[in-house]
Amino acid sequence: MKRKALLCVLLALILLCSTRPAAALLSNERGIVIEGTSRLPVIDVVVPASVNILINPFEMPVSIGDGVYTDQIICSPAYIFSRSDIPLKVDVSITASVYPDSDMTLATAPTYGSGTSKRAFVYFEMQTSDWEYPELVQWDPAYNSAKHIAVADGVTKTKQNILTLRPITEGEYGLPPKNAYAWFRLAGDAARDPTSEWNNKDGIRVTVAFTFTPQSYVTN
Amino acid sequence: MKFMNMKRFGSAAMAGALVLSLAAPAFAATSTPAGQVTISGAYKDIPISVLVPESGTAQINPYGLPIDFTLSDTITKVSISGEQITSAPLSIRNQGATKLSVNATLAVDTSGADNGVSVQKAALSNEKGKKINLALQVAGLNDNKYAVSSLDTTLEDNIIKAFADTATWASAKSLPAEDTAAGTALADATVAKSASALAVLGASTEAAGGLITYGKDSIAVFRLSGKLNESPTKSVSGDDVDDPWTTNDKFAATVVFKFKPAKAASVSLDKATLELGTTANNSKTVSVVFDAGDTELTVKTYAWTVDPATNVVNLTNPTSDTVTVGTAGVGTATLTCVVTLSDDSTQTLTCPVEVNAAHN
Repeated sequence: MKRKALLCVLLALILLCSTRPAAALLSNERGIVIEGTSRLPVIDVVVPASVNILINPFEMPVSIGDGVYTDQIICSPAYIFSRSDIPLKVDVSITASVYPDSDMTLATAPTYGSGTSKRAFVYFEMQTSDWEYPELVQWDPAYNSAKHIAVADGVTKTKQNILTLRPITEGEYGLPPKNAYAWFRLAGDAARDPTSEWNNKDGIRVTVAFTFTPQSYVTN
Repeated sequence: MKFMNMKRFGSAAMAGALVLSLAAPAFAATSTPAGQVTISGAYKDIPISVLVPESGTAQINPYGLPIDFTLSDTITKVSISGEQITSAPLSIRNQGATKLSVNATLAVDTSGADNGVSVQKAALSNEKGKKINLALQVAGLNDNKYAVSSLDTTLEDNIIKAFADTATWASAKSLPAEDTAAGTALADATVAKSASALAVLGASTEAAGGLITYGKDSIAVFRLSGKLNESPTKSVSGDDVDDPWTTNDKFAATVVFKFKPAKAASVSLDKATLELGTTANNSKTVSVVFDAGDTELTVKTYAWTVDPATNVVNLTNPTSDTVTVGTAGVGTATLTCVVTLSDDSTQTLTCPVEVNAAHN
C-alpha cells in the first residue's frame, strides 16, 4: 500500500512538471474574457380577439356602453396596448370579404348614403389615445386616404408604420404614458335606399393583422 | 506476488528518475576558474500593478435598446442606448508608480452560438447573415475627479458615468476584431493585435497601509463596441428568409492587455553647439526635434531667446520650431528655446554659440 501511494505521488509530480497553462500570460499582461449574450426586446401586445361591426344604413340609434350611436357603420370599441419593454412600430394589414350570400358590394370611395346599388364604404382607422386614459381618443371627422385604409372585398391592404405604440409601463407615477393605447375602428357609410334592400344576409368579415416591430435606437 | 511488487518498485524508480532528469538543470555546477568574474545579465520583469477585471459581460443588442447602469446609491441610473454591442462598465486602473502604455490583443470565440454568429473585420454593408463588426475600444480618462483614493465612494460612480457618456468614446482608440467564422473556438480564432498604444495610464501613488491614490489619468474605460445586421436573413432553397437574433446567439471575446512603461514626450535640438564665422559661414539654423512618445501631446509654442541679447548673434523666426541664427559680432552666447507642450508643461533647451573669425 505504501508503494502504491508513493507511485501516485510520483506520477502526480511528473504531471505537474510537464503541464503548462495553455495560454500563459506574461508578467506584464492581464486577460479578461467578455461573454456576449443577446439583448432582445420583449414584445407583448394585447389585441382583442374579435370586434363587432354593424352596418346601419338607416342610422338607427344603437347603444354601445354608455353611448348611443347613429352612424351607418358602427364598430364596437377596440384598442391594443403594449406590455413590451420598448416602443413598437405598428403595421396593419386588412383583408375583407362580403358574406357569401349577400349581394352587397364594398365601395372604393364614400357613398354619402346615396346611390341605388347596395354598397357600403368601410375604412379602417387607428388612433393613439391622447392621454393616460384609454377612453380618451379623438377620431378623424371624415375619411382620409393618407391616414386610413379603405377595405376591399378579397383584397389585402397594408399600411406600414401607422403609429408607434409606447409600453404601458413607461409612464410616470404608475400611470400609462400618453399614446399607450391605440384604438382602432371600422367606419364609413352605406347607400340608404338601394334597389335591393338591405337584409340580414348582408355583412362583411374583416381580418385585421398587426405587425409589431421594435423601434430601433440605433442611429447611423 | 513478489514479481508484482518488483514491477511497482520498478515503475516508481523510473518515475523518480524522470522527475530527477527534469529537475537536473537546477543542480548544474556553476564553479568558475580562479581570477575570472562572471557577470550574469538576466531580464527582470517589469513590476506593474494594474487592476483589470477578470471577466465582463456584453450584449448583442440589435435595436440598440437602452441599457441602465445603477450608481452606488442604488437609485440613480445612467443609461446608454443606440449601441448594437453594449458592455457593462469596464475599466483598467494603474495602481503603480510607473506611467504605462496599454496595448491589447482581441480574439473572439464564436463556437458557443447555435445560429451562425460570425465576425467581420470590414465595415458591414448590407450583409444578410448574423455578422458582427466588433472592436475593443479604450478611452483614457483625464480629469481631477478621478485623482482620488481607491476607496473614494465617488470614484466608481464617476467611472460609470464616464462609461455611459458618448463623449468619452469620441476620442477612444479601437482594436477591430479579425474575421472569425461561425463556430470558431478560441484556440482557432485569429488574434487581433494593436499596432500602437491604445491608452497611456498615468502613475498612482501608494500611501501608508497600501491605499492607492490615482492620478487624474491613471484610469481608462474599455468596452466592446460594434455594428450588426438588425434583421438578419438566411438563404433557404435560394430564397432569403428571416433569421432573427435569438438568445442562442452569443460570443466570447478574450482581451489581453499588455502594459509597458510609457515613453514620455521629449524635445531636443538638432545641434549641440553652433559655430559661426564673422564674414563667411555666418548664418545657421537650429531646430527643435519633438517626439510625442506614447503620449498624444503636441507642441503649443516655441520661444527662442539669446543671451546676451545683442552684439553676438541675432535671431530670425524666434517663435517657430526652426530658428535662423546670424552673426552680429564676435564672442559667445547661449541660445535658449522654451518649448510649451499641449498640456502646458514646458521644457527648456540650450545651445552654446560661438562667433569667431576662425569659423569663416
